[in-house]
Amino acid sequence: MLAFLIHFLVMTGIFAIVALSLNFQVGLTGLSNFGQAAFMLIGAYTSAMMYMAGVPFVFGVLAGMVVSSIFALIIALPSHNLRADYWAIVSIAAAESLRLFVNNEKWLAEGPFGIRGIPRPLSSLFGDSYTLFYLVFVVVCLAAVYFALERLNRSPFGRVLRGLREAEDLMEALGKDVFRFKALAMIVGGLVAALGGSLYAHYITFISPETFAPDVTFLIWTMMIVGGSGNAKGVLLGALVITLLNTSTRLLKDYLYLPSSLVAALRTLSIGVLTIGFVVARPQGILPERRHVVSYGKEEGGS
Amino acid sequence: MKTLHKLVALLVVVVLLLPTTACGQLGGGGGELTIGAIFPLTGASTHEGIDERRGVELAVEQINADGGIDGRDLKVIFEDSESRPEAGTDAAHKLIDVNKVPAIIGIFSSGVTLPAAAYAQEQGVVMVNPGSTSPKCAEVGDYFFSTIGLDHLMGSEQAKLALDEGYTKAAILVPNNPFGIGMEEWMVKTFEENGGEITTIIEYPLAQTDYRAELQRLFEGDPEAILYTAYGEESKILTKQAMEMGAEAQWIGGYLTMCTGVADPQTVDGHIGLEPAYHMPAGQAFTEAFKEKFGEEPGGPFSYLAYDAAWLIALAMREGGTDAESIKNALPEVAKGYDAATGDLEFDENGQRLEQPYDELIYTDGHVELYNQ
Amino acid sequence: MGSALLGARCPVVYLIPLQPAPDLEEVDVQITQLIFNILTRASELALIGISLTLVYDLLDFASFAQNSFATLGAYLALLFSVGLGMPLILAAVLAVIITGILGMLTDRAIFQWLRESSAFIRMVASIGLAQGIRSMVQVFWGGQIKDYGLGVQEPLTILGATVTPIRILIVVVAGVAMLGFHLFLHRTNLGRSIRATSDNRELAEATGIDTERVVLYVWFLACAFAAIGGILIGLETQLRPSMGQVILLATFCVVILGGIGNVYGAMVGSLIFAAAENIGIAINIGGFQFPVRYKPALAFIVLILTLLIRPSGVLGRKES
Repeated sequence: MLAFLIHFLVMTGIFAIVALSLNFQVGLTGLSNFGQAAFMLIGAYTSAMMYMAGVPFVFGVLAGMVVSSIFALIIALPSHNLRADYWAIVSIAAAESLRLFVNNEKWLAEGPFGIRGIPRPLSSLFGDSYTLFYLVFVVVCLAAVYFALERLNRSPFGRVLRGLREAEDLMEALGKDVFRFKALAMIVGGLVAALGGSLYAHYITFISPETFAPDVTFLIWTMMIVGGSGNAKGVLLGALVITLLNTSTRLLKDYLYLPSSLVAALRTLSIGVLTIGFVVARPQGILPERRHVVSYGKEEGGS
Repeated sequence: MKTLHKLVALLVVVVLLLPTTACGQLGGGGGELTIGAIFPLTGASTHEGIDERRGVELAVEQINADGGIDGRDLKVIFEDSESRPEAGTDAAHKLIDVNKVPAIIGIFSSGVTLPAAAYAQEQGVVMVNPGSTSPKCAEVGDYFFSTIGLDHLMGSEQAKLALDEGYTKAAILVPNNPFGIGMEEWMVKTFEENGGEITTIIEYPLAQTDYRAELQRLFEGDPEAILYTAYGEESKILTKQAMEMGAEAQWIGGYLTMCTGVADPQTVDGHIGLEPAYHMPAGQAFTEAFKEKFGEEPGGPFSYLAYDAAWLIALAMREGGTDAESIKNALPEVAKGYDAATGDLEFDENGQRLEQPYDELIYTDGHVELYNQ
Repeated sequence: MGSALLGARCPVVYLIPLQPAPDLEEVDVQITQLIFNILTRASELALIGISLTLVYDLLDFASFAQNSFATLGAYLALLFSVGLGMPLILAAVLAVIITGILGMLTDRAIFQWLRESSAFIRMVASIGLAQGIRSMVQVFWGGQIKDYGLGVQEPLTILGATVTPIRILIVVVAGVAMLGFHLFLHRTNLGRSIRATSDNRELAEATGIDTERVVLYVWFLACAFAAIGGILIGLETQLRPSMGQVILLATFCVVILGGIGNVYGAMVGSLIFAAAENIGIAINIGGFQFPVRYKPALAFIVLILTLLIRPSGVLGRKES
């Protein structure tokens, strides 16, 4: 059972990282980005292919982050002054087109066959207790991401982003380059999501275009909404709850004697119902965003 | 109010975590030996997945009636690959990491089997494959075995069948995945080597609802025959839309029951093709036992192949030991002495089936039967 | 396929000015076949597009759930016809009505609580709803492909195009539905109320129209239309739980192309989109063919072009 717990926590950690990245774009800046899976895809594929070509792991991950930043810019460019629903459509369309491209161009990354047998970094060092090591590694990354994003949140940069979310026209009137800030928010979110993607690839050891279907993006959104959009701690909680639902259904079937064919459907049903439930009854999530009370000249935390 | 919310959240998490605490029971308590099996129980290949599962169930029943493994019962945990590589790999993770099985039977489609197999190989868990035929199966590693002959066998035989029937101008239709590409490679090679002309090659994308554009391209060169293979649900659509387009050619299928299993009889009438043979005595015995247990005929060769896989694992466990490494070492030996339902079953140096007898078949009157030219 | 064509072939339609005539490649598709394919595709997209644009117009948000209502409608028709043995037409009508009612119930259960929330929140709720409906369909009917049991259709040849009777039915049904809708909007009181509410909600309220009831009726109409669209798709190809979702991007494109909130825009948009798709696939310029595998990307290209050139759409969007 320890093995399952470790596996579950690793998956939670990975998804928490991606959920935090989405939170930065959506919860903080108010960009309705529905293409998060694409950033994961970029991170996963880049680091997997580079590692398998002999490039040190860290460089591969960084390269993934760079490529996803470019992609983030590509999305931000035509969309920066579009309404939320347009953003949603354009980002889904862009993500799907990227996925289609990777799927069709076999010379690039094996197309629909995907990349399998991705080696796990430092696997020879840890042998049997590798998953435990990987858990520690993921947790370290998560902590780094969490604190970095929180820093950004509380900084003047974060204030502008929140301003963009609440009153974009005001920000513009104040002379802020709206496009630049939105693009930066997308880039930051994009490269964090890429990190998540890389961590996923090297753990599961197999990725294909199917892995990064829009379903994944919706899953991350659910984590953010259930946990609390705009609240980093809430997002972590959301990731925990949703990942639990996602991973334990395969295990639960052995106890509840569910027909195997029902498991997949029930999993997506429960997630859909959860999303609706929270959006209607408690849109702020389990842990709502903490409003920062700004007094003249200083900033204090408060709720 | 805030603490209340936190309490609620905590409660939710605890409730969801409860089942995991009971987890110690899995993995075979009480003297049972557990192995795993991953089949497409949902999705495009459900028909074949259920067939494979039944083959294994029948084998296990017979094995346990025959004394099990040194008196211990054999138990199989079945997982659904959903006909998708993600789910297949996830299933492999669960069986290997959580249930700690020494061996897994599975899966079906090469695109799904290969990634899961890579993980099993890495973890030193035996995997016996009754359904995937991509040439890449030979490259997985020493823990991976196949009871089914790979594409180089079927692909060439299929091309030879077309040539024997007198067709020299053919088009190729295969799914866009490792299995399809493997078949394509060998069909093209053999057909062209023997003087045939390939007009078009179409690698159709999986899981679509409309293939008219692909079919249009397929028939553009006026082929006499279509060398094809396709998964059940997709084959159903392909053949139906081809018929509705009024296109005419002789369809020659690899794994004919898979291609015609769920199709509308009208749309596949007259198709000929090949599949692994199972009319030998051991195969007939299986057919009878299958009919008795499940009340109907086996759906195709895959139940036989899965049955063979299960028996081989059991025999290897009896022979060597119940851990993965012992099973791996014992398999090639026990295969030599085993009278398989699908004929002479021996493993080559890569753990893949050495030879595969095929039956020539034709689809007529709503079912597949032996074809005598 | 070449041998099956009758009648004259037509020269390729050059969408971009190219080198002069001598190497005039011939399109491998008959022009009437092309027109017919376009009409069929447009018919399926238009109905769901209308559904989408109605919700956009009167409820002011992008509903990702309409495609799932289409799926639901198709499966309900399956339940009544193949499952309960009703004649298909009756089953279809019943399914459409029930889906419409379910749409109304959805408003009561979910969206009525979100009237004051942002459009974004409503959109997110619709995404959850879409997933929920799709999963429920999978739970009740399983993931296997199903169909209405019409068997194989004998193709007919009309004016050189190979068509099956079902596809003719689809175009006819869609045409009748849209015509009926147009008449409904302009000739009935409820239709007028809907148009009034759509134009200016406060004014409509002031003149005594119960806008909440109008919203309910719009939900009924939108989901009923989506159901018709879903049934037509099921008739033409087959049913699977993801059948509505796979054309999500296309339907949104159609709506944006025609002008959000504009019902006639949805009709025009679907024609343009279907034309772009089919012609794009059929073009054969010096041997270069648009790869079939990239057909879904066409939706994206059309979308980007629309947003860059004319974001308000061909017929213009309604100001909300």
